[in-house]
Amino acid sequence: MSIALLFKMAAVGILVTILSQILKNSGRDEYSFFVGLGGLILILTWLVPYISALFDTVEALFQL
Amino acid sequence: MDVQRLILFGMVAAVFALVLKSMKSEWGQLLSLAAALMIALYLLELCKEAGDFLLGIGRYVENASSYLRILLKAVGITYLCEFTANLSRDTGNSLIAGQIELCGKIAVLLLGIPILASLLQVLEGYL
Repeated sequence: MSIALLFKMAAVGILVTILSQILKNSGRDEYSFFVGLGGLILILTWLVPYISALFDTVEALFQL
Repeated sequence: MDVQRLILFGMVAAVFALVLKSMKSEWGQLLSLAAALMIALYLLELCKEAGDFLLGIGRYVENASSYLRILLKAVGITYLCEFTANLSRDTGNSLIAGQIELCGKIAVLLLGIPILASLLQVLEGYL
């Protein structure tokens, strides 16, 4: 249980939102979309190990 | 088990998710997913002892350990299905959530069939 990951995710989320707002206001909608997508993929790469760890733990615990 | 840590963790996560949800909803959902995953991992680590204890009880009763294993398996399937269904309901996909729940029910039913069959066999022996 690491609170650091939550802080990181919140920071990335806020940064990406601000960046995409700035890009959208300066008329570059396509860049703002890619910034959002990049942030999403970044967060997912942090998250996927936890998902697999959860499934491994459940498998080991309940002997599935 | 330090409940205070869990409560604080959930509080911080909820506040962050609230802030992010007002800005961009999918980020808040991802954050709440991360928090839920971490809490679940922590709790399951704690449950390991209880599971071992349950399987240990099975040793005292004849044939009980196989049934207890099936029971544990059913609990595991239900937990995973519930988690995933709640996750997809959170993201607004209640159709997928319903299907996942149905999957879990059918899987548990299939698990229970051997027990039902053995019960019927026992009854047949008495007749």
